[in-house]
Parts: sequence; C-alpha cells; structure tokens
Amino acid sequence: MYIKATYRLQRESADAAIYRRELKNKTPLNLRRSSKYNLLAVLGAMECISPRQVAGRNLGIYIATDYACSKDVAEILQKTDRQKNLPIMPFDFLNVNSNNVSFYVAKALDAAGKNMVISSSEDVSFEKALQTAAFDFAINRVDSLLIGAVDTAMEELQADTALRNTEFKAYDISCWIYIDSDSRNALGRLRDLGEFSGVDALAAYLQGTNHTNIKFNQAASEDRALAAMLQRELGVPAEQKAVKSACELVHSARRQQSAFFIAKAQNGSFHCFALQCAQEPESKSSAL
Amino acid sequence: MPHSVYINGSSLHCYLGENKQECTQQMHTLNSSGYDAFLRRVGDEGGYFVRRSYANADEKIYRMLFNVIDDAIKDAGYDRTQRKELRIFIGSTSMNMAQNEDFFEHGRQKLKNMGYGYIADMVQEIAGSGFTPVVFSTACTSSANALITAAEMIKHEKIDKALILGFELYNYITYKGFESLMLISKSKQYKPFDQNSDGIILGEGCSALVIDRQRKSGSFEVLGGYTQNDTYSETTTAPDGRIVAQTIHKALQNAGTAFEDVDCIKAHATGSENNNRSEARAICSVFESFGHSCPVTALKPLLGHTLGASGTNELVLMMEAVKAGFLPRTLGFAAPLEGIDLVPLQEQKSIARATIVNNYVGFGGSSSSLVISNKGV
Repeated sequence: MYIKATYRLQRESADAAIYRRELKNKTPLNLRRSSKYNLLAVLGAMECISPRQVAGRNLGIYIATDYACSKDVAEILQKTDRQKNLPIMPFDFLNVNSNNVSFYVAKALDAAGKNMVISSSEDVSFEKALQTAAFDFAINRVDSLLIGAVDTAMEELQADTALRNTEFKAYDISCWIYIDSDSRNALGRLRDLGEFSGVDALAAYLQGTNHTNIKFNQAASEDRALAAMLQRELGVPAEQKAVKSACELVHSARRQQSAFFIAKAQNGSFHCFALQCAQEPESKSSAL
Repeated sequence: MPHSVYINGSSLHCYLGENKQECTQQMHTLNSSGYDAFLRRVGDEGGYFVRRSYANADEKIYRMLFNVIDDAIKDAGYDRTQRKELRIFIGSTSMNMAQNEDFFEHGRQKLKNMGYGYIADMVQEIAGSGFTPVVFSTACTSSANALITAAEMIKHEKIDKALILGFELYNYITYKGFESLMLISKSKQYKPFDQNSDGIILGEGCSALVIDRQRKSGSFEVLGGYTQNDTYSETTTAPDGRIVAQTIHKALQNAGTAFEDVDCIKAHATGSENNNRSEARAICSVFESFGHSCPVTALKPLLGHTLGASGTNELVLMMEAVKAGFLPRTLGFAAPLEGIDLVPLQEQKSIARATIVNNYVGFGGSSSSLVISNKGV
C-alpha cells in the first residue's frame, strides 16, 4: 500500500460558500445545493487526485466520518415540524443521506469501482476505513484506494451526549490519501494495520519492535496505562499530544517521516497502523 | 485455500414479528391467504412499522438491538468467550436519526448524540465483543455490504467470526424525504415488477447474523458476493441495469457457483419505477446470458422497504423460508412491466434446499449481490 498522493484540509470552521467557491473550477459537478460536508469531501478528493489519474482503474473510495451529517440533521430538525406534517425538501434529504457523499466523490472523479462511507466508535472511524480498504486491496477487489477522513466542525452543535474528541471539534477536516501497489515515487508505505482488544494485547504485539515516532488520538493520549506500557516497551516519553490521525498521516507522509499511529476506541480497544517512509529503513515490526 | 463461511445464528424483528419464528409463520400464512387484509392494515398504519410500542426512541433502539443481537448469538450457541471474539459489522442508512428526532422534538432542541459512534458502542457492549464495530453506510446495500465484507474477511482468514447487524427505524426525515422525491406509493400497495407499481412503502426492522468458519448443523453457507457502484445518479442505479447484471455475474463468479445451480433470485424490487425497470432488465439479461431462467421473488410486500437493513432482514426471511421448505411467492404482482418479460414467482414453491442469489441496489448507484446455499449440508 504505497501512498502516492495526499491532501490535507484542517481549518477552523468556514462557511459552505467558501468551499463551494474553492471547488468551482475543479469539477463540473453541480453541487450548488450540496451541504458543507459533501463540499468538503469532494474538494479534498479532487485536491488529492484528478479524474485523469484514476481513469481506467478499479478504484475503491472509502470515506471515514465520525459525525457524518449531524449538523445537517440538526438544521432540518430546527426548521421542520412533525406535528404539522411539514415537508422535507429533496436536497435537504439528500444532504442528510451520509452515504451520498461517496457517490459525489466518485462522480466528480468519474470513478468506477466501489465507494462507501465508513464510521465507527468516535475517533477511530479513519482506522476502521483503513482496515476495510486495506482488506479490499489485499484480496485484489480494488487496485487502488482513495481514503478520506471528512468531518465538519462540531463546536456549535448541541447534543445531549458530549463529544469525547474535544480537541478537534472546531475544525473542518478533509484529509485524503491515494494508494496503489507501485512503490515508484511513493511518499510512504502503509503497513502493520491491527486492532487489539486491550493494552496487554497491544504490548504483546509491540515487543521487539522499534517504533519511535508514535502518534496518538485523543483517547490514547490520555491513557496512562498505555503511556506506561509504551515507556516500558519502547522508551516513549509519557507526555504525548493528541492528533487527528488522518491529518497527521498526511502531514508525516509529506515530511517523509515514518510514524506509528495508535488510536483508542471507547471500548478500550486499540487500532494501529504504521507509515514507513521511502528513504527510511524497513521497520522491524512484523506485519500483522 | 479460502475458508467456508457459515451463517450459524440469525434473528429478525420487523413488521411480521418480533423473532424469526413469528416472521416465518406470518410469511407462510400470507403466502396462502389474508394478503388483502394485511395490506389494508399496512395502509392504515402508513407503512410496515414494528408493532410493539415503546416509551421513546431510546428504549426502542436499545430493546430492538438487544433482542436481535442476543437472539442471533444464542442461536449460534456462543458462550461469553466466543462473544468476545466477535467482530462487528453494522449496516444502516439512518442509524440514530429516530433517536435524534425524538430527543429534539421533546423540547430539548438539541440532538441526542452526534454521529454513529453512540450506536456502534452500544452494539459492541450488547454483543460483549472485545472489538470495535465498523459501520457501513452505502444506502440500501449497507447491511448486505457489511455481510459481504465480513464473509470475505473470514474466507481469507482475516477474522474468525462476526456479527452482522442490519438496523433501520422509522424516522420522519427519511419518510418525508422519500415522499419529496416522489418515491412513496400512493396506492399503499406493494407491487414489485408490476406495470401498475407506484412506488415504495417504507418499513422498519432489525436483524442480526452470526457467521463463522465452523458449520452449525443446518446452517446456510455464504458462497460469495460482490459490490460495486455506478455514477449515474445519487438516488438510483443506471436504468439500463448493466451494472446490476454485472454485479450478479461477479457475485456468482466470486461464489464459484454455476447459474444452473441457482434455485432462486431474491430481487431487491423496491417498487420504484426506475428500480423496477433497471433490476428487471438486469435479471432478464442474466437469464439471457445463461440461456435459462430461475424463479425470482421479492420480499418487500411482506416487510416493506427496510432500506439499509434490507440486506440482512431479507436474507434471514429467505433462509427461514427455505428451512421451512418453501420459496415465498411475490405478493402484489399482477402484470409484467411493458416490454420486460419478467414474472416473479406467483405461487409458493416447495423446496428442500436452495442456492439463492440475493440482490440489492440503492441510492448512489450502489449494487450488491450475495450467494448463499444450504445444499451442501
């Protein structure tokens, strides 16, 4: 799985009109009434890769999202009234169908193959999308992968259940990687994707590896047992700052810096993957 | 050598009943009589909505999820250790929409929760799994794609066992959204592949499957499947049916199944004008390419269109029908579409074992096909 192209958008919440304007000359697709979530996704994908680059490929498109269309749902609920049997407008409805976002990306890229939206426990959706995509790639169901992490800023949205991932809620995010099997001109290689049911299982896996540049999602960065284990097994300092894994992956790939990513889910399981950059030596970690 | 994959546990809660036994019994009865009265009741109630009342959407979601997950795991005969090993694959289009609507409406003017993580975490906890669920959102193929992916992962030794959940509850936004797209039937009668079909009737339902490498006596095998998309429209697949036909061919190829061994195609058959035509064309083209046909049936007149959950919901119904010794007929059909020679199964057909192609299509040009069989028992 060689990363050939990337795009990273992590920006404080902006109006949909701004993204619509940025997209204007990039695609003939009519997104005039599309939500900010859809616009962010299409913009990111088009910045990462062009239709020409994926023409004739059996491309798999996987869009990871933690919050999907939550903001659009809230907006519809704000203006509708079930008791009065008020209608829902067609585009409002299409904008809350989170699955449509991968259609718009495929349409913009004129990409045949499969496309899907993947979600999971908060802040591990990207890892789950990676696992799903990597599997399709491994069994040759697709020959190239476009994987994105797309979420709109959530800071103004009111919900009864608080977000766990508070550090990034003020950001619009659309981060993408394009992957194929050709190592030439690759920014890096993705490997060692794994899921571990707890810190002990992760520790057993990490024994004998030499990962140093470790990146954590918010829950992993706050996990003291994990920090102690990593200090013990790998000599990693206990204090770590949280990252948004998709964004950090793009950042590291562009800087040609190998890294090992650990994300903790709500149930205490851990999701990992490694970025091995081209000019660095092979990781000693065993493939999962 | 890829592993075989077996469906060792299953459960279903939908309009027909709260468990698969009730649903099968009701399906059997309706296949012989009482469909008119059944349809009147559906029409009066506005859709195929589950019959039990719940205090609120929170309770409804938890209870329905708990019961189908627990039923399927018990059906598979798993103990606590095996539950912990389950990987979880969820397919749904609306996920927590009903819960958010309910919460928002009752004066609180805010959502219950954001995104799909809340439900995913709840499912993981109910199942007792040590792993994090993955949620597939691919419109009406969502739970079919969840199953296809999980089965492939077992086949290729990526995982050992999995729980697949299809989940869709009534919500106002979806209902009114379909209405705004003029997809809802005005006659309130489901008529798949019929020239007088006038649209979809929505349903709600929830089902779960437990799949494993080890076969439990009498279980169906997942032989293979395939999924792909076209880029024709955000609300349908291309009307020529080419991508749907191609998906069926690829699913058969992936399953290693010869078409002469197929006993039935369970069509998606939403009842919408475009789906009726494109899927009928696709099935006819498959028949033409193999030089012969097989029975085709549609289940939505029994449980409604349960959207992202239709993959697993209809699969459970089909398996239970075959286990009970029959292929269900297509209720509501009277006359074929003009220019398309497809007549679905008109009478319930006795059968001891069967290989079935389960077909699904959805918004965003999504097309999935899945081959199952209990012939190798």
